This record gives sequence, structure tokens and C-alpha cells, in this order.
Amino acid sequence: MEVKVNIEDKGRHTLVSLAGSLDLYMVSSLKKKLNPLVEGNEVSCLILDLENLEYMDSSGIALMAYLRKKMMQKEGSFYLMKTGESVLQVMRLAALDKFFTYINSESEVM
Amino acid sequence: MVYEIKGLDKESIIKVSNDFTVLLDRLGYSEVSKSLNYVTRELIHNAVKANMKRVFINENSFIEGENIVEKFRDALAFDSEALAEKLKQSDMFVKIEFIDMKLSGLLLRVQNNADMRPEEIEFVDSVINAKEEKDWEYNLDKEDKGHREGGGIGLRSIMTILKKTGLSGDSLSYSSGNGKTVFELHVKKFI
Repeated sequence: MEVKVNIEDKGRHTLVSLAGSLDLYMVSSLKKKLNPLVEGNEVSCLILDLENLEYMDSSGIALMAYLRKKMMQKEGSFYLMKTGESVLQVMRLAALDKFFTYINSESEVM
Repeated sequence: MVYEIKGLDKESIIKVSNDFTVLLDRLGYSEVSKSLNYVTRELIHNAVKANMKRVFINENSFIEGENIVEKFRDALAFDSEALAEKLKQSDMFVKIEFIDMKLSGLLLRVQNNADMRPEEIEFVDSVINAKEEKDWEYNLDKEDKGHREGGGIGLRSIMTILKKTGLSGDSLSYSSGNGKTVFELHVKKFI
């Protein structure tokens, strides 16, 4: 199963919606798509909508870590929205869940 | 049961991991089978990436020292499809075995065709031999030398999972040399 990505510029924040499976096979192509968002100065708040993300492995977590670091480096903000239990469990098992900020809706950051 | 995986064959890797889960359930390890499915996939992924690195280094031997590792990481981060294709065309493979050790438990063995580099051995030793969780848990706010941008999360995740599922730290061991690296996960019988 591939990962599908949809990127929306919402003005004050950019919403990236992911669906499917984010793993070793998909991370590279997704990173290429998202890198311009975190490298440039235009995006100061990045939200990943994970509601439809069914599976994530350590490569996916590494990508989350990369995006988080890049946003923090330019004093921006980074949120994971509607994180499903299967994805959260992987992050908990890896003891990495505490490093991210979770929200249930975009309105929480407005 | 013995499997050989060539290239970055997602379907085969998932099948192997699921077969291991079924075997774990059948032999009475249901409590840990789901967590170990994830561990199995991570171990196989690491073995595949190690083979990718070997293929990359062989093709780019004109790049010296640490630079070649950095170049490989860039390639893995942004162009893993090309790496996967080169791996598929090579003669390298990952061999996975499940060995029922009866009263001693179950052994998962994952082998790739590449020796570990000294800095990799140092990193793996530091994680596998760590006495406390804080020493192997990944701190996203602190970057390890040689493991930028989240590299190394897989092995640390494995150690945390082993601890949380009640398996001891010495469940995981490895050896490297003579053109191969072997990781072994020993799932001991719960008493």
C-alpha cells in the first residue's frame, strides 16, 4: 500500500494529509515532496493530518523527527493531528511519542 | 523455515514477518507476537539497508572516508527508489530463518551480505549493551554522531519493544565479519 499525500496552504498554517502506509518504501518520495515546506521560510506552522495513516515504521518516525527538527530550527511549529491508535502505539513502543505535539483539529492552533 | 529476499521487496518482507507471527502464536508466544512482527520487519529493513549501503559504496569507491557514508544517507533519504533498483540488480540478498529451539524457545536469524563498519559496530554495541533504557532510548532533541535526522531509531525501537514485552536485553545479539552480518533474536519460553 502506498502513502497518499495532500498539501493545503491554509494561510496561517500548512496542512499535510497522509493516507495509507508510511514506511521505508515510501519515505524517500514523501520527503522530497515535503522538504520544500520545511526548508523555505514560507511555512511557519506545519500540521500533519494522520487520521488516515494506517501504518508507520521507524523510517516514518524518522521522517517525522526530520520535519519536526526543521520546523524547530526556523522557530516554527509542528503538530500531529488525529493520530490513530496503531501509529501512536508504534511511537509509544519506540518511546518517541513524548517528543511530538498532538492535536485533534486545526482550530486548536488558530 | 528459511527465506531469501532480494532487493526491497515489501510484499515478501511483510509475508515473512506475518509467518513469524503465526509461528509465534502457534508455539505459545501470543503475548508478544504482534510486537515482534514489528521487530522482525525492522530487523529485515536494517539488513536490506545494510546491503544497499554496500552496493552504494562499491559503486562509489572514489568518494573517500566518511563522505561516502554521508552521500549514502542523502541517497537513502531522497532517492531510495534508485538504491532499491541497484540492490535488486545486484547479487546481494537477506536471509531469514526461524529456528524452533524447543524448550529453549524460538530463534529469528536475519543475515545480510555486508560487514558492519567500525562506527556501526560501536553504535550497535552501545545500544544492545546499554544497561538502562535512557541509554538506548532515542532523544530527538539530541543528535548522535553519525545518526542525523532520526537514523538509528529502528534499533533503539527494537530494544525498547523487547524491554516492554518482557524479553531481556540479551535476547538480541549479532556477529559481523567475512562479508556478512547476522542478527539473532532469541525469544525464550516464558515461565
